[in-house]
Amino acid sequence: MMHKPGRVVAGVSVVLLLGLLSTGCYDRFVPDKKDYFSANANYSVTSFTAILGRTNVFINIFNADYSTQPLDFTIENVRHEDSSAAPELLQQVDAREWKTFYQGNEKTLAEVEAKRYTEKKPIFEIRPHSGELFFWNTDSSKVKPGTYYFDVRVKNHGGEKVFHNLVLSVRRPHPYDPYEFDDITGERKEIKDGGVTHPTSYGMVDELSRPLPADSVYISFRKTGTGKTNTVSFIFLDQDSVPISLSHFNTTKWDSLKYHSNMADADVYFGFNRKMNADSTKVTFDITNPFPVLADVSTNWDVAHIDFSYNRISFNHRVDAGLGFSFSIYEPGNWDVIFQFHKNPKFDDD
Amino acid sequence: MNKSYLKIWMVVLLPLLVCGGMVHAQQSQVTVTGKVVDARSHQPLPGVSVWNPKTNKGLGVTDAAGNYSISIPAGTNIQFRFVGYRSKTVKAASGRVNISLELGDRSLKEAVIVGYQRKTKETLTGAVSVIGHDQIQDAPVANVQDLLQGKVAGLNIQNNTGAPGFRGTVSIRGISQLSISGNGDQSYLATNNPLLVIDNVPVDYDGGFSQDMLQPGAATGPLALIPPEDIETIEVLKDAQATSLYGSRGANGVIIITTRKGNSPTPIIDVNSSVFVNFPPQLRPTWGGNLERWYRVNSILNYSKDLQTARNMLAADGAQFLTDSLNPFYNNATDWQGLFYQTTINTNNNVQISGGNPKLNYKANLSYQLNQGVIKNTGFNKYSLNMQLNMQPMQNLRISTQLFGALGQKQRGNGGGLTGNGAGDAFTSSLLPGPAHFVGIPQFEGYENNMDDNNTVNIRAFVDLDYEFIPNFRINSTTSYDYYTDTRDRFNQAFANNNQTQLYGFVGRRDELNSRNGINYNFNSDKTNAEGGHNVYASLFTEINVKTDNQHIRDVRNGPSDYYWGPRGYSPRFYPGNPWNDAAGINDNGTSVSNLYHALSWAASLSYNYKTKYNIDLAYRLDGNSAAGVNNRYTVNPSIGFRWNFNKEHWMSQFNWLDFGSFRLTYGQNSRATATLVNSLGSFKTSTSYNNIPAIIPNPDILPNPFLQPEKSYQYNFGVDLGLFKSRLEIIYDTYFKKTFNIVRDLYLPNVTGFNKIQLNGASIANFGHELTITGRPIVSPDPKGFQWTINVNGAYNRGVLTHLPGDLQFYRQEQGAPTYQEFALQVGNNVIANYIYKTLGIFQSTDDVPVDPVRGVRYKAFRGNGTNQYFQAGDVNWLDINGDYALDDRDDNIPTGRPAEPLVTGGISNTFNYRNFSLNVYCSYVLDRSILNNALAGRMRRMQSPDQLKITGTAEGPVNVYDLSLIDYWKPGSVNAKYPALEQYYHSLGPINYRLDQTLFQEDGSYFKINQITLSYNFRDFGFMKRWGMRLLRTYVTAYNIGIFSPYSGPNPETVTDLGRDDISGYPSAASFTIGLSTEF
Repeated sequence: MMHKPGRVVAGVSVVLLLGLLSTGCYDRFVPDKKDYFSANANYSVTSFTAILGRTNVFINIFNADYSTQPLDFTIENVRHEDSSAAPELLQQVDAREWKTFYQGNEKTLAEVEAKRYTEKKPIFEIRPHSGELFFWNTDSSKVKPGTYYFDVRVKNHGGEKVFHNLVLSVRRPHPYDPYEFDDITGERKEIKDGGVTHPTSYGMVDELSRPLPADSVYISFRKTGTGKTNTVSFIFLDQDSVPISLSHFNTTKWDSLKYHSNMADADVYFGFNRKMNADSTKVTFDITNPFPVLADVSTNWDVAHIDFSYNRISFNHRVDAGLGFSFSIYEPGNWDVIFQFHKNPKFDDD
Repeated sequence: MNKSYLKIWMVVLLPLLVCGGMVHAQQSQVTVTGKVVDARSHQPLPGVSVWNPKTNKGLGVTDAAGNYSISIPAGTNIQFRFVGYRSKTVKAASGRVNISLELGDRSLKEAVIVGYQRKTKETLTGAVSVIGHDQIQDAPVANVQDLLQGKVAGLNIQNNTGAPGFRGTVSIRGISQLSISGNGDQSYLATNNPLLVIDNVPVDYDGGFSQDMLQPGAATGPLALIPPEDIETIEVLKDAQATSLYGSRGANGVIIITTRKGNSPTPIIDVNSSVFVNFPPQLRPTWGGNLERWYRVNSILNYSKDLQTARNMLAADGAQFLTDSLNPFYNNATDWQGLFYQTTINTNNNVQISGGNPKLNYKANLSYQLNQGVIKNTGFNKYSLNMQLNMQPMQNLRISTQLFGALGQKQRGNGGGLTGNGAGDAFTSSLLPGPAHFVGIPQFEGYENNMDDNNTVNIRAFVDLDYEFIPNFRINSTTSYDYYTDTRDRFNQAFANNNQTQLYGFVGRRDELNSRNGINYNFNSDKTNAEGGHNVYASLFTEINVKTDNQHIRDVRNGPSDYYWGPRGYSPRFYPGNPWNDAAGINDNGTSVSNLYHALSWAASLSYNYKTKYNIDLAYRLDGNSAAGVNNRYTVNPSIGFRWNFNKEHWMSQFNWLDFGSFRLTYGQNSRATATLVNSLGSFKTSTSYNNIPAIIPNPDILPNPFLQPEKSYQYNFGVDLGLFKSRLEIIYDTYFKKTFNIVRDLYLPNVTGFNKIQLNGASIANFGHELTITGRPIVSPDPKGFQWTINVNGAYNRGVLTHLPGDLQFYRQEQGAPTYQEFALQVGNNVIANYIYKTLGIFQSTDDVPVDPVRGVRYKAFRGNGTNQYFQAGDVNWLDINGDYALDDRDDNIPTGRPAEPLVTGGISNTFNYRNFSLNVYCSYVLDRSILNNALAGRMRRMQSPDQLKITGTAEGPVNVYDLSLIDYWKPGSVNAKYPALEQYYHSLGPINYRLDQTLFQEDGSYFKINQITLSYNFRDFGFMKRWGMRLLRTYVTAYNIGIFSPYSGPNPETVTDLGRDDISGYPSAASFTIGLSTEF
């Protein structure tokens, strides 16, 4: 009876439909895919030291132990040492952020500045899915130096955990680095701990042709004012505090001074708009703030470096010599960096 | 009632009417003769039983030409019975009565063996598929398992190695294992092997070798030794009711193979002989010669870190093959892959002699196959003899005996069969000269000259006694013994083996004694017709199983020369107290395996049906074994099943388009012995010293768990069988939910316990899905010589979900590390096993597209923390940064993805066309939704990032060769939507590792549609020469086997990948073969 295939097909489809429906039923017997929250997820760093006057970045601090990502992080219960609430840490400040990445080959200050923008951010901020902490650039009028405590709540759909009593230690600002004064006490550090800053040197000799060690050169920073443009100037003084002409540094490539930015992974220009004063005793560069521009966000991995090099003939040998200095400047303004020789170097040929 | 049927009635009845009175008065004996033929093809049917239904006694059988002759009181009913045909009953009258039998409802009246019990299919409650002899013929394969692919819905077979004599993976209704061993391309999942039962004897599916090949062994299992020509049927038992009586070994399903039996009064000689040619596979696309040199030099000169680096690289000694292009030694375009492959001509021969009647029948089957691999120095020869004798000396006593002996000889060449084959390791730069008299290439020399002979001798015997001591009660006793000897003799020449010879010997002896003794009771309220009343079958039996396994290895290295293969003994290199020489821990001399296993089971079953309409099966089995934890010796395996054949309801009789229809519903529980003596009892080891004396201490690696239970599974199955329109359409549908639980996992312990780990029951997996088999006969010609078309389509949808991990964990990451870093994720609620890798979103078209960290002013980079040359730029891969820290890191940014271990859908399609004497069969199989990590491609691309090297080690280790770049859509400046990242800029690329293997860029869809077999055959009929030479049947055929695979996958073959979905470049590719064969019956 071939004339009833319609009913057969209908019957078969009903059975198949039932089967397909039962797939849905089966799904009820198996657990849903759930997030995994590892009991061993942990902050590998629990004490954070933030320095005022710069942006502080704490990255690579959370070990999720393969918990299902993304995790949600929130800062809770920010408080002073005496457990009173510390809402000042959560107030909004202007934060300088990046629209596009710093390449290092920018030709002008404006070009660098064009890549940045300002946004209101809470001073103490957590990145919502990675748990990284940021302490934005602020000053002691908003946050007093001292010890603060906070908790971080981490959760995903599989569970949550609160990490209690993480420590935030807020320290006095360093206008520049290397800074000769102690973070906490504000006193000058011991000499051995960097109470005096010296450059690196090579090949330098004093007037008696004795090697001139780097620690006979003292470096000091001096803020001379606050202009529209931030600048850094270098001045060399001999043992009698008489300026030394920069023309002595005869192999310094003044027009193409570069240093390597670790963070940008590139060789970048040392400042912009080099200006030499009339008697060549002072060289001035326009600089970004901070200088180098990634100094703070790289957690001091990025430092500016300058070499003042020269060569001279020493008993029929041409000898390369020079001074090098790595530093960063956080406080905006016009800064002089003064190299004071405690023994005069010899620039002349023998 | 058709015309021919009427005619027969006339023929039978007319004489009866004439001499009816006489018959009644005299009850005289008459002699009835005639011929029995197939109603459709008119071919004579030998071996048809002629039966007296009243006394239930056999009267005779038809001979080879279908003729019969019996003597019987006139007027008695005579019934002609033949498997697969509708029985026909006529009244006896002297003279010639020709009978034509019609094909019956084959799928229902067929007898199958389930739980050691013969039943008709219509009373089965479980999900059972049967493959007949005709479905596995005409293709000479080295392993019968290859032929089962795509033939049973729910039986997933992936022939993932083409090595002759090896076999692929098998799983019934999804994977049920979580244990992954090995690393990289050599990571393997524990096997999901079903239990294999050959002629009612349970045998070890693998014959003692494990899929991961980490164990030594000759690696030839029973399925490679049994000749397909000798197989009558293969049954696949899928649900827990069907497998419950197989107890502790049936959790992964059961495959039952029944060999052919003699059943002809005149001896039948069956000869099947074929010649087949194996063809090498498609090679992997490669650039050689000048193109290769151009790629390498261009990459070095233009994309190095700086010019000085480029100069240094080109000036290095190792780069001479690049720079010295005018030197004939380096001016080559050697096709390394081609050197490894060969086309081989092989033969397959099978002779079967059989004969007898139900009282005494015999069979002897002799088989020989020569199967040389497409990789040089590999191949498989097998010889087998299977003898069977069945006796019925008394009406109530039946005795069957069988002896099976086989020898499998395997040459593995240089590889493992699954890994380390082919050009993989030797597939080096084409600029190097190929092998010649003066130039040896170690890997290639290995292929040509290393010897690796593996012999397996298997002897299996059984005796089966069945005695009906009082009516309806039978005692049954089956005892079998299965014995294997595996030997492996390997000699690696020094040149091919790091300048030291290796002589390796392996001997393994395994045996298994199985004895099953029981009593059964059979009651039919209507003896003549099961459809007339109540039918009861009950049985009780015990089963004893004793297995031993002993393996010994000797490994002697650093011999004096390639021509002295000795001394065979303990290697002085590994002499105790000489640990310096065994720094790599390669000393595997000694007895690697020695174990003894006992199992004891009690089982009871009860089957009842009313008029075969309502069926119920109950079974209960108790299994104990010596490996289970001492506090948990026995496991319980109960099952229950119902079947309702609704077409037998009288109210269904109006629907005459319905041939049969039934619903089945079952539940059952099964177990799988996974506990070992070590994990349940612990082990001891010698300690170097304690108080200055060598001591024996508990092995601190594993803490024994006396509560360890076998792994278990339960399963629900619901099925529908429908036969429609006079068997023009048959539909079998099954749906199931199977849960495997108590899966043993390692739990690592805190070191204060003094132990490293303990093994616990605790993980579970659910598999559920649907299986559909449709057999259609769209074109049926009434003329037997006319055109006929039969189509069979089957498909299985199976979804596996990990439902539990021990300790309520949600997630387990199986670390992998070098060389691939492709980790596995076991996540509750997800696919049973998933890859745990980076998610590739695309390629950065320009550096400006790279996300910038607004806080830090730098781009998204590879790896956390500080590092140079790791910022992404144009042409790099854009991976998903899940936690938004602008750093790609293994700890945060991997995701569980893919379905590497099991496809979502598997199935097959078979078409048979018959016209006159020709028959054409086209048989295909398919797989949908499976993830493959294309490590062959990824590894080669990754290695191309070292353009100055011939070989790299560590990550993606292997030889450096150049892919055919015209086939690769990789990023170049200005290209849009490139699939792969920039390639030539190797220096930068090595920073973020664009061509890392652990990313979804290389995770491809491994769905495929494969043409397994096309056979065209011709049946010679009614030729004069056949009569002269006494041939009853003569058939020739040509077969093209494994000829095409269609897939979106970019590699050559999505099937020859590891069971965890890694395309290993060193895997053994599967060969296509072409066969011409002849089969004849005398």
